Amino acid sequence: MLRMEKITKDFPGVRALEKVDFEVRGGEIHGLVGENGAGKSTLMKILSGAYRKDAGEILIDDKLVEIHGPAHAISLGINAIYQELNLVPQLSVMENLLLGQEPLFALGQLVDFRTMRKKAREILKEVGADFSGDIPVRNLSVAQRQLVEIGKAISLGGKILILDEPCAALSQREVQRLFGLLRQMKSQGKAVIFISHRMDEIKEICDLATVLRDGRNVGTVPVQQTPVETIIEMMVGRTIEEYFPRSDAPLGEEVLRVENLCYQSSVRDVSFSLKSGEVLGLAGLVGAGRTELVKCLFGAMAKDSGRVFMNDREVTILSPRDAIAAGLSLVTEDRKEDGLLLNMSVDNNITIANLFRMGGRLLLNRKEEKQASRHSVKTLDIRTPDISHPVASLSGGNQQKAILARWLLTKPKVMVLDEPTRGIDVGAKTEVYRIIKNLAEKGGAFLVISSEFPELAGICHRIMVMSKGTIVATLNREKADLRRILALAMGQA
Amino acid sequence: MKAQYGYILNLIIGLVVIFAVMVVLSPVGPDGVPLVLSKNSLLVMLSFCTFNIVLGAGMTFVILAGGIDLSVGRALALSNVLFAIVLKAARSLTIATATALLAGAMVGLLNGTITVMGRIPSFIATLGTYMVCWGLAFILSAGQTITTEPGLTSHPLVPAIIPILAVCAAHVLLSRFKFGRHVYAVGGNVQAARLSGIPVRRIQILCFVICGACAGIGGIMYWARLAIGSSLAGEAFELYAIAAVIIGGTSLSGGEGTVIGTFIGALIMGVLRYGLVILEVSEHWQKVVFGTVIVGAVLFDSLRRRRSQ
Repeated sequence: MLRMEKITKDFPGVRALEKVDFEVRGGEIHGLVGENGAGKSTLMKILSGAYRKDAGEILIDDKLVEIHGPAHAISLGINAIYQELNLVPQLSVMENLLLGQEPLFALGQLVDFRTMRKKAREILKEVGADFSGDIPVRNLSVAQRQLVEIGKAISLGGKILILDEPCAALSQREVQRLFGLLRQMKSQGKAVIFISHRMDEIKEICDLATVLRDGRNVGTVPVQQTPVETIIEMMVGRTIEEYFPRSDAPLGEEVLRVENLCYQSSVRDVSFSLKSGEVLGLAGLVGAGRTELVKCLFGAMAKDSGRVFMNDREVTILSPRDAIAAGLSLVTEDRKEDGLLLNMSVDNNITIANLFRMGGRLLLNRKEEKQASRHSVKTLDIRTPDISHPVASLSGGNQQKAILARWLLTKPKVMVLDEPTRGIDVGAKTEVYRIIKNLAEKGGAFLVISSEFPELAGICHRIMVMSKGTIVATLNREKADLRRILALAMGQA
Repeated sequence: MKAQYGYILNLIIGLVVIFAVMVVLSPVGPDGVPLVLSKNSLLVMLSFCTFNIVLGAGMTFVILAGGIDLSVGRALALSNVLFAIVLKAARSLTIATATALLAGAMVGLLNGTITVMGRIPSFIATLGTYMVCWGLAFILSAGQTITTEPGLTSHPLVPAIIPILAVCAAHVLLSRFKFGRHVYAVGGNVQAARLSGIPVRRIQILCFVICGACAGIGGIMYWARLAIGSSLAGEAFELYAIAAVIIGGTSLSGGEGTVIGTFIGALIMGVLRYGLVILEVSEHWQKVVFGTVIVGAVLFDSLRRRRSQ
């Protein structure tokens, strides 16, 4: 049904796609996988008319087409649902669902709201939404908005549907509903392209999967017959052992113990302990309460109850300041949102959490700061032209390393890393793993949150699985197979 | 940081160009010197600049930390009135000075506390205190101009020392003190600053206090110039101060800018304003020119930033 041949796309400074071939047949759900920056979204944006290709050909039903823009793509029967949602928040659900295809009357001048409401109700029923078409979209949750997007795409009735990470915000029940819809479209002979970095989803819904790496197609495999590990190895271009360096040094004394921590309804009675030299994983789906747990631990959210012990002595943590003084560090999930100081230089970003220990009581000591920053830049191999360079100009991986440097400088006993490799390229990921490994071997203790379970299975000694605010299981590394973690995280075991 | 120095260089060039244009266009006085360069007009220019520099220096802190302070002009009037009243009653310059400074700082503290603890946009909080100070200044002075014994008679350049000291102090505070670094961090990314252990609220409140104290200094300077206490003092000064900060290259969203920039921004405004007076441009056209320059400077900066990205 769809063939893309030798598609090439350049962005300033990088070649995003290099002669990529991609083929999808009707009646097929085709997975598109790859690391961040592998070119998945770029390829799909070319197909949906959001980007123009620099070279290559697109054939639909064996006919050569030149896609001029999003409207043209839709007229060719290609509908896309992107990660970032494209709804008008002020308009109602039904207005959004039928935006641009409103039923009209009176010589096509007025909107026929009665028909619109009826149509909207049908679409919402089809996608399994339990809300009315009359409420404004801004009142919906992210998951509900996602359903509206899906409904919109289905109502357009194209023959090729592209879904870019559609499940990230959805609950398990909604995911199953979506998968049901996709299977239905498949049986109608339509083609579905499904982008995800979650192997479990790919396994469940896709027939074939095409793997992209660094803007190239590294192969298309039948999903059912291919082990997950093989797909991951294709994605990262090396074997799992090389990709996930992990510490094998013996563990030391307990450094951190958390007892009965509670926060509203999102963290319920959580207890765990961490030894020096240990890398402890915290797995769970979005909304399981992982971020809330670590933010409470770090004093960034006010916990309702619970005790925290460092080296067997109870500590009172009411603010991030207390946490830092107690020897905790938190690398947050969203670098840009609550990690980086984008207005500042690399060195100022590195020293900001450690200023209270440097220089005088009131004055800065620029020399000491520069020395410390230079040392960090060297040991963590942060690639920057100069330490006084703005941090905003670094790549994602180097920004992440700058934040790691910031926290390492505070000489923490325990480092909490929330999604430490999100949005950074493959090479930088391995470097982050290596940093964790080296520090763990020197007696550092880590609590690592990640939605990418292979990553946790790769680098951790133990993995705690969190579901609906509670720790449902703690698995040793030997027992940590991905299916089991996933089943536990989904609350099915 | 480096980009900021580039901007300051642009500002200085702008200042020199504007000044040169004024000199060329200026009518020549009886002694053959362009009027713009006459002693009197330079002094008038300077005196307008002095207020704008002091208030702008304080305003720089607030804007850098991501806020805005609309109350400074009226806080200046309030402390000016209080100064005159206390001076008349207590006959002590020291007590009067302390009162005026304290009044300014208290207004700042109020602004900061309402904004930070009440989680109200500083625009609204300071709009409120603007009204309150205006009213209080009027009530305390009973709507009259309070005349006192003549102010300090000294060399006319003495008032220039205060703004220069203020700018130097502000610059050192922002660039050499941990406090300054924290101000930039809070203005750049509040969340990140908080998670880095910075006492965000304290920093934000302190910025308002500094800004208020500068308004207090302004109130004293106003008395020093005219030997009066008046609720009409400082009319629209907050707008001039904000304009000086913005022309000086400080980002209204916080985290970027320098007090040196504000200093030159204030000089540009002073030169422009009294240059236009001497060129006999009507008051209303002056406003048009002013508005254009403010928007033009920000537009220029925004274009420059976009290009560098």
